[in-house]
Amino acid sequence: MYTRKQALAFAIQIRTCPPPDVRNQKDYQTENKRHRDICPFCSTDIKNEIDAWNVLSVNFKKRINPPNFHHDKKDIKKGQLRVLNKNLCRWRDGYYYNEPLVIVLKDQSEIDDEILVAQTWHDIYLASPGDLVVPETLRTGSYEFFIEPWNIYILKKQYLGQYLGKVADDVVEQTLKMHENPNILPDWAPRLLPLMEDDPRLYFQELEIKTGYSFSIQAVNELMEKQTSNIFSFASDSVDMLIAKIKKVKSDIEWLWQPETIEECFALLRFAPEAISLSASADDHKEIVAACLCLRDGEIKAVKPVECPVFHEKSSSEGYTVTGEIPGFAEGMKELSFMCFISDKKNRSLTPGKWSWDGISKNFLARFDRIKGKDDCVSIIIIDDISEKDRL
Amino acid sequence: MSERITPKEFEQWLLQPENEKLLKIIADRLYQKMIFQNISLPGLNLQLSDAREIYQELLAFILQKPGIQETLLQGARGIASYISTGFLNHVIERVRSKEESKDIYDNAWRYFYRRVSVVLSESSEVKTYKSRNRGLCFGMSDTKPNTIILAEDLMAIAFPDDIPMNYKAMTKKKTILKLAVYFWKESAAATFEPHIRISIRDFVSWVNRYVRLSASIESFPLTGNSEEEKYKFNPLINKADDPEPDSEKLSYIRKWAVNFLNILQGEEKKIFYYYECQGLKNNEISALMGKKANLSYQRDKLRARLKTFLRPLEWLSPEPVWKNERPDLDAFRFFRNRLCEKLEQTIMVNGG
Repeated sequence: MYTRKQALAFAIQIRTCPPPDVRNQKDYQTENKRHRDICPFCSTDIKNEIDAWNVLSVNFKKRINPPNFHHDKKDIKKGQLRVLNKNLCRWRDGYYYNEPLVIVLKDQSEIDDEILVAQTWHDIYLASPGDLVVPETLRTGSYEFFIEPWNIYILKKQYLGQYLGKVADDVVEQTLKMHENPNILPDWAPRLLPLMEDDPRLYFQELEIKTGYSFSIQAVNELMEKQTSNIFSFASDSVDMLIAKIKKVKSDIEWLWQPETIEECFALLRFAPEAISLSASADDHKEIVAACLCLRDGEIKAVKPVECPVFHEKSSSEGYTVTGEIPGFAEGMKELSFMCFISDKKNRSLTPGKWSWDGISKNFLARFDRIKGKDDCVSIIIIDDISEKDRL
Repeated sequence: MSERITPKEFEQWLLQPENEKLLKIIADRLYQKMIFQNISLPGLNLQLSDAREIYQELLAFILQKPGIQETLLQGARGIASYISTGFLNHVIERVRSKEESKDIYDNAWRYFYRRVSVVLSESSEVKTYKSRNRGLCFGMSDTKPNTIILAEDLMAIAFPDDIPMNYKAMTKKKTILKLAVYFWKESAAATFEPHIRISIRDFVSWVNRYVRLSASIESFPLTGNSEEEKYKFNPLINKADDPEPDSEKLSYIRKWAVNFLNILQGEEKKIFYYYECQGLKNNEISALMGKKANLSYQRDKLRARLKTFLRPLEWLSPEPVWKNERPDLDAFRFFRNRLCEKLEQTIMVNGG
């Protein structure tokens, strides 16, 4: 009897074990050793089965040389099922993250080469509520699979590889709708049974987040450089003047310590507990309370808390990264800008981070070139700035 | 994906030495799975044979599998689950097929499976459907179901009170029908799928969870009135723990214990060892490690990591939806003991 546990075991091997060509590379001896030390499949003969299928598949492709494998990489269109470029596969924490298949959710922008994609998985027995199983009638060129509308990210065009098939436009639209509201399920989609305690599908979702993160982080590193913020419109204010302006619109606001710079006036903002909704404290999920400043024609009109669920945090020798969601802002709000900081209260120091926010998925990623200490705080500042001419 | 080669060319390609070698590796793994799952080919004693027999069967299976060339082109992702699992199901089907069952009365399981198929096919109470992947199925509606359901989602359904749990009763037409209708209704309710179709293979697996499908008489005393009390002595419901994991399992478990040891880094090894192996209390551990704070948060994170590590592994973690299913406790105990031994050695070497 095929079980979800078996399905999970296959998924872990396919997602995180090095394929034979990587396992035999001398450059990766250390990484391969670490992997064998910790992987229950590669340290035994269990992995041999998938490896053998893998090589057999590669051999067969060579034998048949199908024309689809040379599909024009420039012709990227909404609804295409594509595999990510193999060159992006990376070692991380002893695991080798293999390239996933993704669905292209938006046609390539004319301005830049960013592509919005959703991750997919082929074994529908690992799908759970919030996933979208694509029926045969709405796909071509591919066997059954499901889309993870909760696992959407932006990539550079060149990250996309081989074209494998296509889904109907409605599938793409429904994926975007389900990203906004996971409880929506189109009539044509199969229903999925709810998750149980310790359900293998829960562990699969964790795996999928890690996989998506491994690939999206590389694109984000390039994209985040573009983000700027416009707090510098306050550069002519003194710290005291700025504090007064903020206090005027929100009298109960506090600062982590007494600000000495304009930047600190924003980064150290703290809301009184009663200003934050009950859901924040009642829920076990981690979140960051961002500060949103609404500016109208250069005037601070409001300062409000925005509760941002955290999806994933990672500390390593390279620094600290956190991903999550900033809900409540409409897609394409060009007037938004962001800042993020780590505040070290003990040493009274502030470290700005690199930032990325995707207006469609609402997901953010903040990356810092330092480790976040136990007592350090992460601050997110959202500046919502509309001037008179923008409103006309 | 319409590019194909002829069946003859495909067979020749499969038999090329390089590909033959790969298929033999796969056959080795399938052979091992069959031993663990106690599945065998007709007329074959797995314990007395080897993977070569399985290789021949696998080759024949691949050659006749529809869409196999397209599947191979999709890459390794789907093949492992699609073909390997398909092959194991194929072996089960073969064992139960008419052609292979000249002496079906020797195999009660096989007989029961065929008896159920015949009774349900001839019945006007249920409808039967042929499914390419799931064999013969039964249901109550012509509308196709629209819920993704695995056999394991149905295995927690309780056995009805009014049907005796013995093989002889099971083979009666009236009992089979009553039980099939009961199981269908309970399955439809459990999955909220009014058009559910149940494969006979899954139905028989469910029955076998409560009734030993064997012609030999297996009796147990009925005690008490409640469902739980009544079948307290049913050996299938109240399975004793395995006396000891077999040597094949032990070799895997030993390696898995070392894998998890390697996952633990630095002080995590000590925290895990003191909490899980020594059973020390928070304050004792904090004192031993020279910490002011309680380390229960770190302990909880390590437990979660252990759970994630064990979740996909056979024997060591149960299928969660089968409420009456338990892990192989002896296997888990062996794993834990092995892990603790290794942790102790590591901590001693490092001056713990």
